[in-house]
Amino acid sequence: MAGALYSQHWHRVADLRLRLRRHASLHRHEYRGEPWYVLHDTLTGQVHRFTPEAYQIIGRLDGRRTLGEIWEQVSRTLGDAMPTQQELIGLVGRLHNANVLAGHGDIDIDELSRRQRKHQRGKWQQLIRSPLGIRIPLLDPERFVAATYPLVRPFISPLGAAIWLATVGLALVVAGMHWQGLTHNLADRVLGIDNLLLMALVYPLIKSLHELGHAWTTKDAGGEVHEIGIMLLVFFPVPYVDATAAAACPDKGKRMLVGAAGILVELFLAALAMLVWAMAEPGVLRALMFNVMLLAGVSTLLFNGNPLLRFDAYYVLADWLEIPNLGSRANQQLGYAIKRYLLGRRDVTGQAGSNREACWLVGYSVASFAYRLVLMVAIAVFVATRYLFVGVLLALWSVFMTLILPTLKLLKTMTVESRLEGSRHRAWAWLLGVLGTLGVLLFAVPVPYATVVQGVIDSGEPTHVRLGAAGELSEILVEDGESVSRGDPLMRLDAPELASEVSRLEAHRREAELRLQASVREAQDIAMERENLELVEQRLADARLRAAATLVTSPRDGRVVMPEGRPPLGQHLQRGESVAVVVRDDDLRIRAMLPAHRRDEVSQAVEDVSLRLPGHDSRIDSSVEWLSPRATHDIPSETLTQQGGGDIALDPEADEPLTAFRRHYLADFDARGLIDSDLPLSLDGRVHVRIEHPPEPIGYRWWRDIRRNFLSLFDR
Amino acid sequence: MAVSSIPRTPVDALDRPERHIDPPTTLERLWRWVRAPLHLPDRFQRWRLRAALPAIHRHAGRLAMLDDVALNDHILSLRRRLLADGLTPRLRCETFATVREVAWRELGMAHHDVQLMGGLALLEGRIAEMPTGEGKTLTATLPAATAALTGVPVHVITVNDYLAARDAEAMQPVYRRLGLNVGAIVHEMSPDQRRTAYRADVTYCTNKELVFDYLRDGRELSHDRTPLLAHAARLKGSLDDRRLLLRGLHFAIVDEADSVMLDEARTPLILSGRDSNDPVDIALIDDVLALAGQFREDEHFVREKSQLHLTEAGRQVLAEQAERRLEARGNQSAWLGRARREWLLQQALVARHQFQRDRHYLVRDGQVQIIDEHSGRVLADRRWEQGLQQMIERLEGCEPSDPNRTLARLTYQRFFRRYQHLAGMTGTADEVRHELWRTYRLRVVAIPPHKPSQRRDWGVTTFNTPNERWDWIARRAGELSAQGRPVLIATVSLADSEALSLALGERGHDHAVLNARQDAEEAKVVAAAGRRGAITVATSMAGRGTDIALETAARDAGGLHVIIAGLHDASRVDRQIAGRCARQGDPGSVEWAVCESEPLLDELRGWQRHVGVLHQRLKRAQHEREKRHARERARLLDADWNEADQLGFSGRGE
Repeated sequence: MAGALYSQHWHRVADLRLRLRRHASLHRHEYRGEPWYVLHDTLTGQVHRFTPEAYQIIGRLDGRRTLGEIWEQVSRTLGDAMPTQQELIGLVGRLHNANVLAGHGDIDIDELSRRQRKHQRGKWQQLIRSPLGIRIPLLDPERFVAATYPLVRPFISPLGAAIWLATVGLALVVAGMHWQGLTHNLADRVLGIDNLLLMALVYPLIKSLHELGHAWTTKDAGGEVHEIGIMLLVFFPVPYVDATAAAACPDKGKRMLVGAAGILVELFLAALAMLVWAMAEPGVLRALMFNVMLLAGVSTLLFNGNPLLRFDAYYVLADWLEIPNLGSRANQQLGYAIKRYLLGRRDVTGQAGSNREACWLVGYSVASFAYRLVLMVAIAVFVATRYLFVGVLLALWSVFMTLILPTLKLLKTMTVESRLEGSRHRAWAWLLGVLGTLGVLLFAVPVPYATVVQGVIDSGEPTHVRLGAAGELSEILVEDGESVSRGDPLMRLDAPELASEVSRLEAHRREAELRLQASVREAQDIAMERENLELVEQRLADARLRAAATLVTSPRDGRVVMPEGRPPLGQHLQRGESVAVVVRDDDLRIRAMLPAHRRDEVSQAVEDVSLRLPGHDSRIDSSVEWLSPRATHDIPSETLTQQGGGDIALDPEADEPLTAFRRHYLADFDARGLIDSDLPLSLDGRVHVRIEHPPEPIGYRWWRDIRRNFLSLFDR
Repeated sequence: MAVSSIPRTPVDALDRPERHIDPPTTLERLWRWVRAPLHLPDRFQRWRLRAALPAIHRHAGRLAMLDDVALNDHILSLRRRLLADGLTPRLRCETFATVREVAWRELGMAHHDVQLMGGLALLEGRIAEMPTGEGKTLTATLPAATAALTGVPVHVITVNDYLAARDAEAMQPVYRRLGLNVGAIVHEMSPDQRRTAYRADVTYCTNKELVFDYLRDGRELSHDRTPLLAHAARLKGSLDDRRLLLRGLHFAIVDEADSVMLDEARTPLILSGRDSNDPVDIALIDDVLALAGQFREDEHFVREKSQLHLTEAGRQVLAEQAERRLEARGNQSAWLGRARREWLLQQALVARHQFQRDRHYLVRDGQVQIIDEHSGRVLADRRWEQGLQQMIERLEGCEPSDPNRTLARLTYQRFFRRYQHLAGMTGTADEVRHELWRTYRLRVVAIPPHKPSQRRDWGVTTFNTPNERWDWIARRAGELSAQGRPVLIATVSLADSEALSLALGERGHDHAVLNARQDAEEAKVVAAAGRRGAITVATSMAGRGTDIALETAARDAGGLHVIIAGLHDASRVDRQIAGRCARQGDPGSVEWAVCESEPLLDELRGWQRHVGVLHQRLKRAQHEREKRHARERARLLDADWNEADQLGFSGRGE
């Protein structure tokens, strides 16, 4: 840094005699064990932080010494830590921009007006930059806060902490006891219309108390709150207070309390509501308490409790780490790390005082960026789906501001700005290298690609073994899965009444034959008796058949499968009931449901299909046999539904029992390999089907998925 | 830009009208960057300019009929109409025709069509790129006289005093006949003489003198920058308006615009005064220089892109040495403070290793004088800052001078943008047209030559050592001189020119030398350079604006032959030197003699330095250097804008 010891512009400032304005006061703070000096502008409530070295200079700004003299003196006292002239000019410039300097005889009016214009433009730019987070200042609550502060004062103490802990602890215990009641059917209750009305009533009250919590604790920390207002966060009004004055407080604990006050107040409210809810009878009061709990508990923890967003927890974290201005310093540190280590520049200085701090800063920067990105996408999608036209515009704008503008800025830095001079080639090399690697990984390196679905074993034309007679099952002659030939006995039924019926009918027949012989002369009687005999013979044949059917035989060659399992012996079975199926191997197939978007790939690009039974490791080759030409909602087997342990969601509003929520295509796969293996099979059993496609770079897949999801989002 | 856009503002030392420029916003900057390559092709611009020519010729035909008295009457009436109506397109053509007629009657030179086109381009506020030797001086009279007749003071800015005086002198008859008075500023003038010169309708001056005078005015005005404040201060008696020099920045025509606006703009102009309060600590300087002498390259310090950096080992040695000295002398010495002692040592290393005698400076009459790397001239009043001057003086065994104190500082980029109307002309602008647009909002229009050029290029000859080269050049110059052709040999540095002069002397060739050491005889040397068989050795001093008039015998022998011994910092400088021959349709030839040990090659790193045809490598190195210089200018401009933000508390700008 030796080159910048002397500044080219020193001649313009060396003779100035400057002093601090009276409304600026200096306080000594400790951050991470280092002393710092905080300049508090009591007029505007702004706070600026300076190093002890800078304090050496600021302390000498008394209106009598010139800057030149101050620099000489400071150089002598500080030795190695002496500031360069450029640093001194920068410091005085900062003080000037903070409006705490006086004593320069003449004022550059142009500069003043330019600064004013810039300030105003900055406000507008803020508005344009984040249309989803507009701040509207409403009033100055100082008098109210000052008047009510004595009432609150006793609670900002260990006593208050004890009360708070006791209440919240009790509420947690109660919540644990009523967990079922609390969480049951949450979505229905939260989004009901009457509930929304209740929420709208409760919400402003809770949030006002939240902000007042900040205001009171700021007062307690010795600051004043002069601005309270409403921030439109994604069109949703959220109150805010300007508690920057608290930063002047040297006590880290108090500063953290100011940041945390809002959350503490809300959690306390939620705890009270919890207790009332647990005791109240169902009704309006109970519903009200439930809402208070929800708003004050859950929403606070999700929003304000997240340090990655610039809400309460962020300030608490910054104070706890003793790294003020955490967010911007984190980003600067990241920039420094990139410049120093990636671009190999030596002329940059970091923000961090220690390695630990550097890790915190860089980690925070990366984490918060990633989180903001996720949140941005979520909000953009939410807004876009809710308020279609304006929403899409706003969502595009916010995407532009968070993603595209930084990219443009990066490009600008890479191309026109002189800051990167000297390491521009390296910067481009890194940028292109990273982008190129990403591009190659995403779009050039093929990655195995497969569709995995669940299927069931299904028989194409099953031949049921139906009972020819009713009776008690007395014997099963085959094993489940055994192969049989046509006519092989399978089971035996015990039906003694059939045998007696046969012998009774045989007796009948004899009687009828004898009667026929006896009535030889009467031609009319002969005809009658002959008819009777025929009838009896028919009934006998039928009875004999049924008696024979007590030995159940296979209707054809194949394999006996009992889908319901082996029926218990002694069970009474009705005639016509199906007790088993005789299937041939070539009838069996695996039937699966393909998600609609995978149909093209499965019909066109299949390299390999393999099957796996749940609980078994071996994979069995297979092939696609058939794809249904049109999509359907019908599910072939309950095994595939989520209720049956599968992954197909049922349509809760459908009239038919097996109706899928989404459309699917049916696909059949060859089951021969599975049958030839020794694995135990059962009809309607679950099979995992893995359809291997040609390897494809992952980028194309992501692109298709994103496109599909995006389209389905708006396709309502 | 319409013609009438030359603003007619009060012409007064107190009102001092000038344009006020705000720092460009990010979008503006981006837009300008995007727009730089987007412009109408030159051909359209030339058609547009050419379209005005018939009207001028029509007026010219009428004016040619007038006798002298009638012409004077016409001039008077024209001036009255111009003052009354301002500059309308019709009056513009009539004025151009009048100036042309007057130039013909007074100087015997009538403006050619291309010069008229150049004049129109200048009046519109553009940069006219006219080939060397096309008579830019005469061209400038058209817009200068036109603006002056309209009541707008004009500054015609050139690169050196010699040219300013010469051009003012040469063009004076034209202006006088038009009823305008001319002033010229040269370095030696007193404030009173300067004031008179600036009061003239047309003032010829150099960029440096002009900016220094502007800065002096600024110090005179101190805080009373606005017209109202200035008037109030005068009434109060705290400001003496008779001590002010300039009358505002109205219209400037910059000759050799690329040199003035870009090459010289790399360093800001600094108005400094002797600082006798803070005498130099000679003992300290000697001590630091001695210590720097112990530091070895690559061990204690490294050179990167023509900058010196201390290594960790170097820092450690320095810290130890400083400790020892601090113990010996107590804590009040300059060795205290790491930043300060490292800076001191770095200055000493720069003085020892970075600056070479007879390349960056010369020693004359016991004084160290800086040589300007572009023009090759001595910068009489320039001195290095912050003790560097004293260190080099000490190294050269001269008496250390008093240190300087900066009083005011201004960049050319800023100064020229303050003109209400700005135009430029040069022979070489094409390479830098984008930068000119980005920095000054000036567009370049290429004007075709009057007669086709007869310059022949004899190609490049390469050598391994400088001595081979000097021998070859001496032989070559002797042969050509024997044929009766005058020869001009351009070297890169003063030391080179002297080495060559020695080689020529050994062979017994009579020759003249033009360099920073022999700058007194510049006019004489240039006048003699076009004689039959003359040999002239020159640095880049012989580049811009040097009009070498050929004797008839020399022209018949084949015209001037230029040998360029080594590439200069910018290809524009080479083109300017080549442009000394074959001017205005004369015959002439140019050739290059390059050598493996050119310092320019330092610009290339690693394998690039050694692989490839020498000439190609040199071209690449030259390109690298041009880019580096452009970057320096861009950084300076950025720093300029930032400064406005940062130094708001100081209450006054320069």
